[in-house]
Amino acid sequence: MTAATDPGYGSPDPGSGPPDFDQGGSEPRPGRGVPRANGARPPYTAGLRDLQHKAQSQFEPSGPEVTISFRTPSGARQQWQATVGRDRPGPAGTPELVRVVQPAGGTDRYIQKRVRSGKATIDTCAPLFNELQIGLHLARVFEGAYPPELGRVVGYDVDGDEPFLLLRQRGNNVVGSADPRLMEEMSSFQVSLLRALSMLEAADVVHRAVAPLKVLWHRETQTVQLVNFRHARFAGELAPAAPDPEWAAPEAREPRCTADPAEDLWSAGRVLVHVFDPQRLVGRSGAPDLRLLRAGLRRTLDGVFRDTPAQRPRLDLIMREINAGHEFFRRRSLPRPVAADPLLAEGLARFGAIRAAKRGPA
Amino acid sequence: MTSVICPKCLAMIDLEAVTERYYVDDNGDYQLVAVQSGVTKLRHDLNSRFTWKKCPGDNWPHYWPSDYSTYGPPLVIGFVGDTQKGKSHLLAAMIGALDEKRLQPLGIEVTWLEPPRHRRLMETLVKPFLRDRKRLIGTSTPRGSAADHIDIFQVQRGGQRRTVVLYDVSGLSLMDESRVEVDFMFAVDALLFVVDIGKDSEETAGGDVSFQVALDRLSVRESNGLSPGPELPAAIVLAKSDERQFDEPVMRWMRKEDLAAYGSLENPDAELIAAESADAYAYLYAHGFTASMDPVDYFDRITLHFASAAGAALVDKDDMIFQRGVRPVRVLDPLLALFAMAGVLGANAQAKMGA
Repeated sequence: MTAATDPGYGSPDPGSGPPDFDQGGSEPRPGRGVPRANGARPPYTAGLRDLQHKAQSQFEPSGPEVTISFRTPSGARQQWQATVGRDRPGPAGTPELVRVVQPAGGTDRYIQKRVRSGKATIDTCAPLFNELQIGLHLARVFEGAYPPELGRVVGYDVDGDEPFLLLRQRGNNVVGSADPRLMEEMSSFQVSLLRALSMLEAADVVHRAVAPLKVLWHRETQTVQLVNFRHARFAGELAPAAPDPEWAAPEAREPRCTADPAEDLWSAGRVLVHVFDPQRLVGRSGAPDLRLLRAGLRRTLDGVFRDTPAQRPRLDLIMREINAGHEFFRRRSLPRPVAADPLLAEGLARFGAIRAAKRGPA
Repeated sequence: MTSVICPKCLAMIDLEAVTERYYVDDNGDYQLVAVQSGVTKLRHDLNSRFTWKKCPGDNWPHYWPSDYSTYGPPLVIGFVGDTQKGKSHLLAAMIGALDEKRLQPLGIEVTWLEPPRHRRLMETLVKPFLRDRKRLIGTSTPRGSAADHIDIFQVQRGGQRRTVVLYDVSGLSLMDESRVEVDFMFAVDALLFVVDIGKDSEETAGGDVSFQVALDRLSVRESNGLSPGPELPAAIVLAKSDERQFDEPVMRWMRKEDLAAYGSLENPDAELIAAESADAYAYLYAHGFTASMDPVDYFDRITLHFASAAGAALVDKDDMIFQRGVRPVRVLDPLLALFAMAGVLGANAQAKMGA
């Protein structure tokens, strides 16, 4: 599956506009203007999606209430009465459907991704289940202090005829036409995006598909949120080629590579250029020419587009250099997932003791 | 002279000293291979392609492939687990993977020593499960008769060969320690315990009785001239791990590639295998499968593995078809661990493996 068919779903937050269900080809190239009359996206500049061009009614939860039963990340069973938006197709070539869900009596909205009835197989469920595994991992390691910088799984059902995920997302993606206010927010945006990357790195997760559709900006809190973890891997895992070569680091375009947080850094760097200096990407499919970037970006992105992960700078150094060292999220802040569960930790200790006893004194 | 214990009659036998060979005729009966008048040379040669020898143990007539102990004592592996715990599915998935030559890239060739038996197994068990996605009914062994082996093959690695015999006995038999069907447990060279950690599983009070019965059978080994039971290699498979693939640490291991620890057969990644064993033990402990952990205390060397024969759960527990498909995950890892601990992969691998 390629990102050409992989929508990143924006926020269903009230007041922030509808979720982004765009599927019109690959992530847009800067400067590629397409007449709106043919139904394609408006001329590209950069910045936040222009919400005025969306037909809100397509996404609004409406109609009769439905019952949604699911498990929360902690394993508890929960049931919602909720109104739902119209089903939208998921990534092309998949039997997935996506809709907005609003629990009765509340104002919060959620995104439900599900596999169409009768179409659930090992293969068709794999991306959804991968997103769930990563989401549950993030929920466990950030338990009690889940960061707003990362999209969040709030519920799931994997056993039914229509396996699904419920996701909480916030903000609007940075695909659409320009918003002049965004330029004033460049510093906050950069720092927040780098902080999000530092959190993923601390959690040993590599997103592998960082691109404008998957980066949301929440103006009220000046926070970036990374969403859509269907292609994510744990750091060090073998992985196929990243879904969208246009936004992928050179090593991540290979048919097989080892997932490395540095590939997300490369992709996030390109997203920053896309948002704040889009003309520098015109006609360039790979890394932009750093010398031509605006000053506020050049310093941040120095070294980010080097060819190999090992050559790229560490996140903490980049953030320190732009006076945002205090926003860097340190790995030691997170427990190892197994150790976070007292019973698992006890079991590990017992096994260690049995093993040591069998081996005898050194 | 290679004296080995026959798992069927429990006699010490030397098959290499037996010269008469048999073939299996169209009716499934054993017939002596002999140059007879009226039998053409071609027919004789065809009959001699796969031959068996009658076990010299003084018991009822039973047969082993002629090569049974030609390359040293066979490795007899017993599968242990209660009924409906996924043992038959695991065995079918393993045999299917071996039949697909999944060990060939690692430099291991597998030759089936009893083609008729193997074909029958493929048709009745392996293909219905792997190809047709059918749920298998548990094994049944007639009461009072010795358990029959389920398949037998030869493993060739470089110039080294070893015969491997797989035994599966009905979970029901394993729940009654007085039954002769489980006598073969006395003669096994390695044990593979199957624990069901699927979504509908729960350990009964007192744990898996079949584990206790199996361990009991091993207690008389030493006084009968065999190595003590605790010295046997053993593995515990946490079967149906796909149904727990969202739990820590199951997810981490179910995401790993099959046979990830065996980049080098002679030098497997023992630390990786030990880490999986520790996580699997912790999972059993944390989820109350404490009695299923007894083999860890009993055996000197044991590994624990997350695996799934089907790769997906039944949508409804009464389904007879795996609606979401069948794709085994990591089913050969436990077998390779047993191979390593039993010396099939060489002395270095043997020395490194097991808790």
